[in-house]
Amino acid sequence: MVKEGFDCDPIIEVRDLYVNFYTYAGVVKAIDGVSFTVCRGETYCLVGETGCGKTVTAKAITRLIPPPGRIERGEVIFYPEPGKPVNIGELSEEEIRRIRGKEISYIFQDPSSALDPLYTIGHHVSETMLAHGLVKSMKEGLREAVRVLKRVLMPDPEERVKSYPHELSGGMKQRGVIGISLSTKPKVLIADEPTTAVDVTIQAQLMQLLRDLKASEGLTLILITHNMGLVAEMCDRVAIMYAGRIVEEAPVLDIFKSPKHPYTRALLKAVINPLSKVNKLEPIPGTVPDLIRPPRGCRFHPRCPYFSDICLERPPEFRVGPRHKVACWLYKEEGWGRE
Amino acid sequence: MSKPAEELERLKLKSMFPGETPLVEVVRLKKYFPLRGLIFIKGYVKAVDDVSFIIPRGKTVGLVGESGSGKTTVGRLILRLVEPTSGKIYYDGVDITTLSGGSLKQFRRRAQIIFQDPYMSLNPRMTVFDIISEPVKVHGLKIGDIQGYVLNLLYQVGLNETHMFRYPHEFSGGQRQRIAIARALALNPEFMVLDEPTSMLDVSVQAQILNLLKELQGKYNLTYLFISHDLGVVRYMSDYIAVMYLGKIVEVGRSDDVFEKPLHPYTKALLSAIPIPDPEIARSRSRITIKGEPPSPINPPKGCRFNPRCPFSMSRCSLEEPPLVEVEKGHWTSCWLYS
Amino acid sequence: MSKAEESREEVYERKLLDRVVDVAINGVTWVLDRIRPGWRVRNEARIEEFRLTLYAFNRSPPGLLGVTLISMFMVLAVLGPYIAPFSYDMPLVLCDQNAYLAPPGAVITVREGSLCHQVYGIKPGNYTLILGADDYGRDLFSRVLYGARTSLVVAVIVMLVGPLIGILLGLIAGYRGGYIDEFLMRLTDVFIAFPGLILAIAFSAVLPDRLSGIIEGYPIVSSFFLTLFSLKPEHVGPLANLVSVIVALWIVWWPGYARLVRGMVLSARENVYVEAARAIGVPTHWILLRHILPNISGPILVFLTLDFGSVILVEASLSFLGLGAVPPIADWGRIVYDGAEYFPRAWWLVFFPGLMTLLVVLGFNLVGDTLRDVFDPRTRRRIEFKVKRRR
Repeated sequence: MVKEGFDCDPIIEVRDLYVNFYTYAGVVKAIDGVSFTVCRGETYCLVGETGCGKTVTAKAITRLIPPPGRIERGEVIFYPEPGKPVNIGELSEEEIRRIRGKEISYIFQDPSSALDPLYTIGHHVSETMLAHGLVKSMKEGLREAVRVLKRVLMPDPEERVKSYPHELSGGMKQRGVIGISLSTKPKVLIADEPTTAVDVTIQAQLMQLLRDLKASEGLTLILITHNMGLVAEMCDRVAIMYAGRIVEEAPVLDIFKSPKHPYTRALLKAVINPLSKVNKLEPIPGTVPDLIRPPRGCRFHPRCPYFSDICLERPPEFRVGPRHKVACWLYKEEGWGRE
Repeated sequence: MSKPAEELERLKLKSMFPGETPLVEVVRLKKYFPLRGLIFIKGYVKAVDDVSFIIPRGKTVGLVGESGSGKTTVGRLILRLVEPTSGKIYYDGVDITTLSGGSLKQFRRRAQIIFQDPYMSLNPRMTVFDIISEPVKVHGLKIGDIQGYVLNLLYQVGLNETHMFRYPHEFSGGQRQRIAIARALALNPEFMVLDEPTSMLDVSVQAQILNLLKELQGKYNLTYLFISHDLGVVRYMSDYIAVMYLGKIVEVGRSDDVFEKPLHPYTKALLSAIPIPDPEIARSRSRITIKGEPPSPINPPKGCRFNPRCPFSMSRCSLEEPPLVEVEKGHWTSCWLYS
Repeated sequence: MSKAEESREEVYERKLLDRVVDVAINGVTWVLDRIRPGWRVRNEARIEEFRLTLYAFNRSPPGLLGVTLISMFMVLAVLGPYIAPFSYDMPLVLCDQNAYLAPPGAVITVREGSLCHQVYGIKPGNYTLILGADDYGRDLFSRVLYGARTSLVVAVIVMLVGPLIGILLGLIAGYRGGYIDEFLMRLTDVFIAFPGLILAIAFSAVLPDRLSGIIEGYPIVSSFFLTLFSLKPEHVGPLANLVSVIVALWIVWWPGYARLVRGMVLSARENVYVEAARAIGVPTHWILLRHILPNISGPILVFLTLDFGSVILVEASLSFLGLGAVPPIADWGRIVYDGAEYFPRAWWLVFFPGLMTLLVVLGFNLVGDTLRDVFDPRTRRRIEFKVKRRR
């Protein structure tokens, strides 16, 4: 596995991941050979449309894939400290549970489903902290909870600690969830579409909050989204996923200024920038492929305007920039080195 | 409201956008939903609270706002799917708030709606043909070859005969929206309310549907009310934009004016909250973040509804509600900064 | 094979029964297509759905058993009176004393020139009483067959009207809401508060007097029922009791459906496609019939199927209690009632009608349960993929 090159202190390495779902309809090849490295302290984005596999990838990092899903092949290496690799695949259930929630925390899209309606926010926080040994009792945990809520800028934290989820708005719930996830001082925070369920102004607040917390806590953030605007605002490096594979990976500026993969280009052309008067949106013809019987070779080829016969063979990743990789035969010559 | 005052208001509205003839005139529209306690009424959700604007013939008016702004309710009110509490709606000069029976049914032929959820807006037990031909049958239109008529509508929306006798669940979200559009077109309407028609679709599909809607507008000289929370999409589709906050219109004007020279602090905050898919701009622009949560529409703040969260709030703002005034030709706002 | 059939070959793993289904569906479709040209094309998707539903049904052995039981019941009920060796009220003791409480398999003799021969027109010879006879020497086998007819007719008439009233009221109450809904719900509260059987008993006891006037007064009514139940004209009297049971069961049965349907309508009417229909200008009755009813029909159908068995059981219970069918009308419940005093000596009088009731009700229950699995989207998927070929 070739290292990322300059200045990357890896904190999570995903190598050659394959995840299948065994359903009644057939085997869904949801993740098909995904590899990437997340560097300590950065914001790494997994971007794609519905069904591209970004959520499954995120969950696979801590083996959160429920049956009928199974991790077929591949490794996930976690570096809690630089130079001290931990192979997630080799850990026992007990060990991985200690990592989940403590070292690697999650935030999901719908805060309502992450919160038990029978318990207050304060209870949630203290329970989490207690479970990971950060406090000795629930009482202590509740005191800590107030501080946690303050940190996430929850209005009236002393009052809100005693609130039940249904008494809170979407934005507050998500703050609560962020608070719970950060209460254990994790090294990595995986946020899966954290703001899809909230309004745009609240989204702006929450994103600001994440940025600030990241800076103050020294967090590594893995952000999963389909919103290119968010990507532009938040991310350092971006991986574009399509149909279970990474088709392009690059620093954020490169993705927007010089997108290489036809899918990335098409995606950007289909996204509206409200600040500029765009006259023509160009849709991508066709639909997302069926992952039970995916297309041969490059999974994007049925919709690709540059299709040629070689596309029936799966393209490797070609390097087209210091940190820019594309999985597309168009760059066979231009790229140097194969991964 | 007294008749002469109403007439005055209506006259004022007619010239809201210079050079345009209104097809729809909304005059001081209110919708209060009662909150029922055990025996008595606990209060009212003031979803739409004194809203006035016009929709010019042949143009698209975008209605933006976050959740709780009342924009969805306005759309429903215009089509009489929800009964107004007070106020008037004029369609082609006729007061439709008092229509009933046959004349209401006639009105329905001229004004249609596309819903947000393509998965639920089509009856799962009816075939595509049934769905699209239903309006024709309901209104007893004398069309000799119904199958041919439906087929033609399918072609208009980019589908074909292979789709005609199948069930909705066999189709993707984008295709279902097309079917919904074909259904709406079956009666040859002049006006359509588009209620977040693409917010549940993937980005690439969104572009397809939006382009289709634009094409149809040009072809049939349709008038649209485009409701959305996504400012980028609204800008792409609309000639004029009305911004709503907590049941009131805070700004209305030509699309370009509102986007490039926003007047109301809320509009400014909204614009700065949208993530921009351009990393350079995203990280360099100055942002106005609004603090706090949107208040409840049951007990809205006194005076200007936005004042508790407004960075420019003055003492007057919490005492009196500002009226909607024309600040420059065709660009109106309700804010004490401009009165 | 047509193109559709070819692709079906590819997709489905079909069993023998499935091919039977195919033949039936193709036959009916062909006929309908002749009557209304183009029908097949328009309803292609519906036909396929139906076909798949039947295939799914075929995958359930209990369901198939249930269908067999029900079919046997239907056949016996419809053909019974024509294949029964004796009439339901033929006292064979008059022919041969051995007929008194004759055990199954007993043989009786009708002699030439005897009363049975001359007056009742029974051909002389030896007859085997397959299931035995009762204290009047009435052939149990024949009575069981006639009893099947009685049960079927009562069940059908009850199920045609009772649930219909309930469903209609439920649709209106659920959709309209407001006072109509409140009123209906309180009314059904009252009805449901009473144990069904008690209510049925009460009505069955009170109605016969009222109804006998109508029945005997209008020859059309009486001959209608006489034919349905395959009764002799002189038994018009006991008809009133049977009809009372039917009416009583209508009254008792409708509230359940009203509540069930009303509840489902409450949630169904919130669906966006209902709002879409309103936006088009679809009138209320259309919305109820085309948009709401079809989408709640699954559970209703299951209920109806299970209820069919329940009605038969309740009817038998009422007869067993002395209401409903009175002698000499043949009714399973009544036969058990009459035969109870001779139990366990003449065990067959209780056993066979009881067994028939059991099997028929079991049949409906099995089918109902299978339908529930077939219609519930969650269990349906599993079954569906058993049907479709995995590539």
